[in-house]
This record gives sequence, C-alpha cells and structure tokens, in this order.
Amino acid sequence: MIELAGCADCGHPHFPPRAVCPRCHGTDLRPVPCREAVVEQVTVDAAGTRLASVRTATGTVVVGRLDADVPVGSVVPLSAWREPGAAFVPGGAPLLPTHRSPLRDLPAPDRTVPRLLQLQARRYGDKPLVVRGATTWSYRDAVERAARMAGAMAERGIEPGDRIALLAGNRLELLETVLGCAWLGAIAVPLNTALRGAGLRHALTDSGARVVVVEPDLTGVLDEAGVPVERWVVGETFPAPGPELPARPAAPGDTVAILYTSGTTGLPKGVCCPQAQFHWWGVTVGECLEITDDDVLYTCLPLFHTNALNAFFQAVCAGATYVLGERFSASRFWADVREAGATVTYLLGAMVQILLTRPAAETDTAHRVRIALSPATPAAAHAAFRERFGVLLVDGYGSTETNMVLGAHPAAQRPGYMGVVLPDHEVRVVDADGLDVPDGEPGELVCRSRQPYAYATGYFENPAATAAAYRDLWFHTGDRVVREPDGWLRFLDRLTDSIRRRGENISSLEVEQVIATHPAVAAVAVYAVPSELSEDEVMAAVVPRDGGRVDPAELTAWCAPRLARFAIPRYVDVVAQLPLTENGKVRKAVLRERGVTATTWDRTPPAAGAQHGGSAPVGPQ
Amino acid sequence: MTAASIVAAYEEPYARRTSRTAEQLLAAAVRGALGAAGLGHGDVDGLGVSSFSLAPDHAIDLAWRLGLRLDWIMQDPHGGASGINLLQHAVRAIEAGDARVVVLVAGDHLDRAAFARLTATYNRATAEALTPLPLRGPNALFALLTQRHAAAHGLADADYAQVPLSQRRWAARNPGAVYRAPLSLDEYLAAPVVAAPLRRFDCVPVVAGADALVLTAGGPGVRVRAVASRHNPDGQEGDGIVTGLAQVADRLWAGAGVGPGEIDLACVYDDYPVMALAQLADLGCAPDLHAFLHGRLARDGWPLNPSGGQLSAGQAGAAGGMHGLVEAVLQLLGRAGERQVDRARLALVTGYGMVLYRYGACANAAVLEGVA
Repeated sequence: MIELAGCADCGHPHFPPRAVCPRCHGTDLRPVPCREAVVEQVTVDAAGTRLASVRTATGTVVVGRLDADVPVGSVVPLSAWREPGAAFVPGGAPLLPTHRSPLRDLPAPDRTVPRLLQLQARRYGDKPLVVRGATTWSYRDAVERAARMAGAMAERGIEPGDRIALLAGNRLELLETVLGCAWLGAIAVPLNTALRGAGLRHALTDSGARVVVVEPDLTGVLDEAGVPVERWVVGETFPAPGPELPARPAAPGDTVAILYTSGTTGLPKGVCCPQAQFHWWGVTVGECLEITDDDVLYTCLPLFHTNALNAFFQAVCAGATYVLGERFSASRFWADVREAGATVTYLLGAMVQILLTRPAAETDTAHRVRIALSPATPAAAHAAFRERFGVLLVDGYGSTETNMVLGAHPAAQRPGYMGVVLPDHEVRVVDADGLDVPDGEPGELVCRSRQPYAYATGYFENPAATAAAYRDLWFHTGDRVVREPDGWLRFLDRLTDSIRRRGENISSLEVEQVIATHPAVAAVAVYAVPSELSEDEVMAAVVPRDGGRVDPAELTAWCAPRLARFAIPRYVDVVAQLPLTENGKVRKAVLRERGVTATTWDRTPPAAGAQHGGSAPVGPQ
Repeated sequence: MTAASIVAAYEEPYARRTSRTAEQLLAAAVRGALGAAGLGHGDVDGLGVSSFSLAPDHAIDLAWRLGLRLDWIMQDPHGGASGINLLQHAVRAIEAGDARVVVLVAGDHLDRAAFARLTATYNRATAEALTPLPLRGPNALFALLTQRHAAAHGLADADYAQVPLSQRRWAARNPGAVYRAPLSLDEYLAAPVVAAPLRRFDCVPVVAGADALVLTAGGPGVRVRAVASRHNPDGQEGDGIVTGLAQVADRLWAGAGVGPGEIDLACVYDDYPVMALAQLADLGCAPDLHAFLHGRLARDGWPLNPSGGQLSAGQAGAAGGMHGLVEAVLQLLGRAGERQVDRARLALVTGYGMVLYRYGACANAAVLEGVA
C-alpha cells in the first residue's frame, strides 16, 4: 500500500505530495491509501532494476520498481513485496528494519551469554532451542548442559581465562564446549577444521590453548601439527557431564571466544569476541531477518565461523529454534531445510549461485523458508532466487571483528547493495590516508559502534595489529566499497583483491558478476596478475557448468557490451574447480600465485589501428 | 527602445575528461565569446550564468573572479531551459536600457561522482520518490516516456534512430563533437541497451565544457524575433510526451512573423530523441513524425541540430541549455565552418528540461534571425 495525497475539496489525488492540490489549489490534503495499480510501461535499466510506470484507479501515475517480469496491463499490488510481481513504490517500505528484538533494551550487565541463556530458559523452558540430527536440547536443557560442562571442565582443572581450542565439525560437543566456557569464564577457540601444519600450529600456540577438543578423524592432523597440548577426543576422552556449576559472574566486555581470521593473507589473527558481542549479533541480525519465536533457523555453515555461531544467538534472543546441519550440499539443501522445518536460513559465498544453477525440481518450493541472510548476493540473483525458491535474500555487512553494520528492511533490499548504516553504528569511506572520499568514489569501509562491546575488543595478545586495525579509533575493515549519495553502500573488493590496470581501478566483483551471468559459467573468480607493461592485467578463472564448455574468446566477446573495455579479462583459465575456504570464499591468493600458465588463454590486445580493441577475439591473419 | 543583438557565440571545446574546473571552463567561454565580439572584459555590464558545478559560488562570485563590473546580473538553475530563459531576460534588459553589453555563459564539469550526486538529489521529489527505487539518473524515465510516445504515434526503434543518425552525419563536420564517426542503423541497433528501448546512442555523452553568447544594444548580428516560455504546463499530471511548447506555439510564430515552414535550421533540445520529436511536433514543425523522420531528416538531410546536437556533441551539464543557441548563432553569423548551412537566415532554438518527477517541466523556444 502507498499513500497518495488526496484533496479534501475536490477529491483529486496526486503523487508525490504537493503543497496544494494541482487541480483546484485546495490546501487540505489527506493521505489516500492506494493498494494496486496497472502497469503501463516497463523498462530494465543498465543495473538490472526493473522500473515501471503504473496507473492507479484514480488515474495517478507513479514510477515504481517491479520485482518480477510482469506483462504490461497487469494489476500489481503496491509495495506488497512478498508476492512475486509486486511493485515497490516509495513511501511504502521503510529503509531501516522495523522489527524490534525483545532483548534490544536488555540492561547492560545482562548482555552476557550465561544471562541470555538463563533469561530465555525462564521464558521458553521446554521449547526446543537446539536440534542436531536426532538430538534436541530445550532452552532449559541448554542451561543445564552449559552448567554441567562447566562442572566437568572445572573438575579437570580448567580455570577462568583458560583457552579451550576446538577442532571439530558441526557437532553438539562443539556448542556444548562454547557454552561451558562461557559459563565457567574460560575462552573457547573454535578452529577452522581445514587448518593444517603451520597454520594449525600457529593457532594453537598463539592462543596458548590449554586443551584441544578434537573429533577422532582429526587427531592425525593434530599429530602432524606437533604441538603438545592436552586432547579431549570426542566420543573418547571428551568429558561426561559433570556437576552443575553456577555461572561465574561475567562482564559484557569479557572475552568469551577467540575466532581466528581466515588468513587469506598473512598469519591468522585471533579475534577476541566479548560476551556482549553475541548479544548484539542476536539482536541486530534478528531484527534484519524479522526473527520471532515462531521461527526455525537452519544453518549448514561451519560452527567454528562467526556466521553459524551467531545464528545460535539469534535463536536465543528471539526464542526461536536453531537447527544445525552437517555441511552444505547443493543436492540435499532443500531436503535438509524441509526436514528441519526451517523458516530462516543462511547462505554465503557461492551457495546462491550453486543453488540457482541446479536443474529446477519440485522440491524447490516444498519448504517453509521465507528469508535467508545472504551477504554479497549478486544483483541478478535476488529476483531469480525469490521467483524460483520463494525465499527473500537479505544482504548485509558484518565481520568477525564487528557486528551487523550495514543492512536494510527486508522490503527495501536493493540488489547489488549491502545496505545502509544500521542504528548504533557509524561508518566512513576513506582513502589510504584515512581521509573521507566523496560519495560515489571507492574507498575503504571503516566503522565503529555506539554500543559498548558490540565489536571485538582486539586481536589476542597482538596490540600492534589491534592498533593498526583501529587506527584513528575506527575499525578498518580492509573492504573496498562505494557509498552512493543516498547512503546505500556497495561492496567492490577486499582491498587486497582490487585490480589496477593502466590507471583504471577495476572491481573484481563487478567483472565476476558479469561473467557469472554467462549461461555456460558455473563459477568464476577474477583477480590481478602482473602486466608486462605496469600495474595489473585482469585474469579470470572460470568453471564451466556441468557437461558444458567455456570458450574464452566467446566469453570475452560476450563481456564487451557489458563491461568497460579496460575491465574485460585478458587472461582466462578454464578450471574444474576454484580453491575455496571452508566458508566457500574463493582463495584468490592461491590463484594470484598460480598466475598465467602455459594453458592460460591470452586475449593478446590487437595491434594499433584496431578501434574495438578487445571487443572481439582475434584470430590468425 | 534599443534593439538587442547577439553579436558573438563561442563554445569552449567539450572534453570527456579534463582537469579544468567549472569556473575555468566558464571563464574560457566568456573570454572566447568576448574575443569573437571584439570586446574586452571592461566593456561588459551584464552577466547571466547557468552552472550546476559552480556551487557553492554564485553568478556574483564568478563576476568577481572574472573582474566584471555589472549593472545587471542573473543566474538560472533550470538546466535545459536555462539558456533561452537567460536570453529572454537579457534581451528585455538591453531593450529597457538596464544593460548594454551582456555575456551569457553556461557550463559544467561534473565528474562521475558529482554527476551521480546531481542526478540522485536533483530535487526533493527525485531524492524521496525516485532515487530509492533505485533510479539512477533519468534514462529509465525517458525509456518509459519513449514507450508511451511510440505507442501513441506508432513509431518503432528504427524511426527514433533517424534523430541520432542524422545528427551524427552533421557531427562528422563538427570538430568539437565527441562522436564523429559515421553511425549506421545496424550499429545503432547493436549498441548496448541502456533501458529498453533506449540504447547507448539515444543518450547524451556526459562531457565538460561551456558555451557563451554576447548581446549588445544595436549593431549587426542575430536578432531575437520571438521568444516564448511555458513551464509546469500540466502539473506533472499529463503523459509527458507533450511539452509546454504546444501551449505557446501560436504565440511564438505570431511574434516571429513567420511560420514553421520558413525556418532554415532548428536546434532543438535533444536530451533524448523522443523529446526532440515531441518539441518539433508541439511547434508544428513535424505534423507527421514518420514522414519527417524518413523524409526531411533521413532523405533531405534537413539541418536539425547541425552541431550534432547533444547526442553527438555531448552534454556539458547546464551548457546543454545554451549549446543550441550557440550553434544557431554561429550558423546565422556564417561562422559554422564545414557544417555551415547554406543561406541560413532563420533558426528555431528550443530548451526543455527540469524533470520534476516523471518528465521535464520547463520548455521555451526562440526564433532567431541573422541580420547582416
């Protein structure tokens, strides 16, 4: 529904509201609700936004956005964004989330993991909080589990402040240990299960882990790392529940977990996550996804990572149920979601694209999921995903070090954008010297929170790295973004992933999004390789769709009308798969290191005189 | 009453990229126009300015920096209608004796960010009701208008193409145009779609540059036979494919003492082909659009926007409102170089612009006559 301005004197409505009635100059203007309109003209702009001129029953013509390809002459509801084919019209949807978490105004001393669990157990008691396979913990069970894990840990000599490393997949023992640590005042250090050798050794020694909880399959990995540390092997020496221990008083700023950064460059750093940070993750993401106690949250992302760990606290803060899947499988995803009874889920990296490239199936819509958190969703995927799966993708920005910093009301999602600055946060976009860049120009995103302990408190025992990241008292994200004049922010690159070719800055993401829409392409990564002239050349690694093939010459010709000439890749590698992190992010450092090889296709720029340099493949003369 | 005469016109060459500021471009255009008139800065006593990127400075700041001592000053923010608006007032000022030598100048340098900022916050209705959609600049709005116009007049893409195609043929002879290479119908149709049905060559290339005119009391040059304006003609409650010119056409031609058939060339505000056609139709210059496009334009090579227009020469922000005036004056003074129209005596110039919500609300037109 939108509101037109209606004249009380002559009845004539208009939009947008003027100072007087355009027909009779009457000044008594009142809101007139308007629920639907007829589509008269439709166009799609260069960014893929479908814009329409629609006419209401009273003859008022309004410019709006269509979220689906509906024919001219259709009647569309105004701003009823949940229905495919609905029009979004200004004034109909608020920009910022309107859902309010019941725990947003929790008194500061209660913003700790034990207090959250106790408060919600009192309210939700026997309601399921956690489901993993056949096992279910109620809200009350979760408190008991935490208290008895703390008891067992204390019996084994663990003291407040001790670090307990975890090397395990998505299993309940991992969550149990995290909650037990919070109860006892110890610090959980969930490690990436892909860590090996030196990386694992670094994380174990850097964190000074007193114990490592490890699943049986991964003990060999520990042996190779060669760090002498006490092991609690799941199913073997992992402790049975001990006596219930009262929660040790904790302050909102106490470190409750240390999460190691994925370390695409340099050694991983331990991010110290304070108690209150998890409260704010629960509140803020819950508000962006409008999570209530009717919801079931399903995640198959790894629990050692901030995304899945935070989803647990979104469930706690909303009184919802958290279903922990094993790992992402494209073929099983919708079946798992349906089995979980999920209404909310979590997507990351290439998952959206992978799900979209699978053949359509009846199971596509045989589920109850209404919404998914999906940071950095390609612009074209929003409408396609909603039409095919009936799931609204919600973009946003947050990191292990921060919280949910950028986002927007579910109805106000702007494809290709992360969102606007959420309440409680401040954001700037700065150049290498820390000076603000004008809106519309790329720069590094820096941010800070107005809520105490909503962000990480620093890098573990690494004051130099902490000071560097927080220089000028702003957290430097390392992400290159653009803020538009209207306040929306768009992600370009990790700073380390940006490409500079002959004076032009190129966003690898923009090139990737164009190539990803080619019908033969399943996945793509774009990165810089050294140019023989100076600066960089653009290179793409492309994975063909099942059974298909990608012709690099055809691919670059296809890019020509869709990309700035300087952004079209010179080099293309057709590969079977991309090197990924455990979270599905492409490890571009690996690709950059591999660089141009003997099998790389090279679109050698045409010699002088060619007017359309690069727009067409060049064959032998 | 002293008759006003346009004695010189000058365009500071348009450039896609430049390190020069708007003020430097405006200053260069003023210098160029005064040079062409054989006058100096000390002779000027009236100044009219239009520029988006002059801000936070105003006309008076520019006058100060140019060293002008003035009896008459004016600034007009109305984009594509600003040139003729300034002209209308300057002629009256000279006739009334308020000024004797008036320089009118318009120009801009908008980099990508400034252009995005300008279009996103063009006015309150845009910022509140369009930018959040998101709508990025006016292309999509004029795509919707083109569809409406095409349905109303039974025109197809290849018909609208005749406007940029014919103007491109003229642009080949304008060394200052951004696009000069010949454009075929196939190339036009194969260009990337910006917002269907608009393709790349239906949209103006954004450039930096400035245009200027010098008016004096009396003297040989170009006379303004008639000028007429009509703004906000329908409260933005119409279809947007008829401009305010339809309401003042009779007054304009009666004032000029000639009819649309007697015009030797026309410089019509061409932000998009559809609006150039709408203005020509509103003024009675093209009673049958299909015949006009394929006959007068494509077959006869009639001089519509012989500079190449903004579609080929480029749009330098507010200079777009003065570009057509400068071209018409150069033609009537016989100083249009290779693209000089034979025996050019009468020219029609129009201005259009200022999208309030769905389409432009300002329109004006002038009939100019070369007086040897």
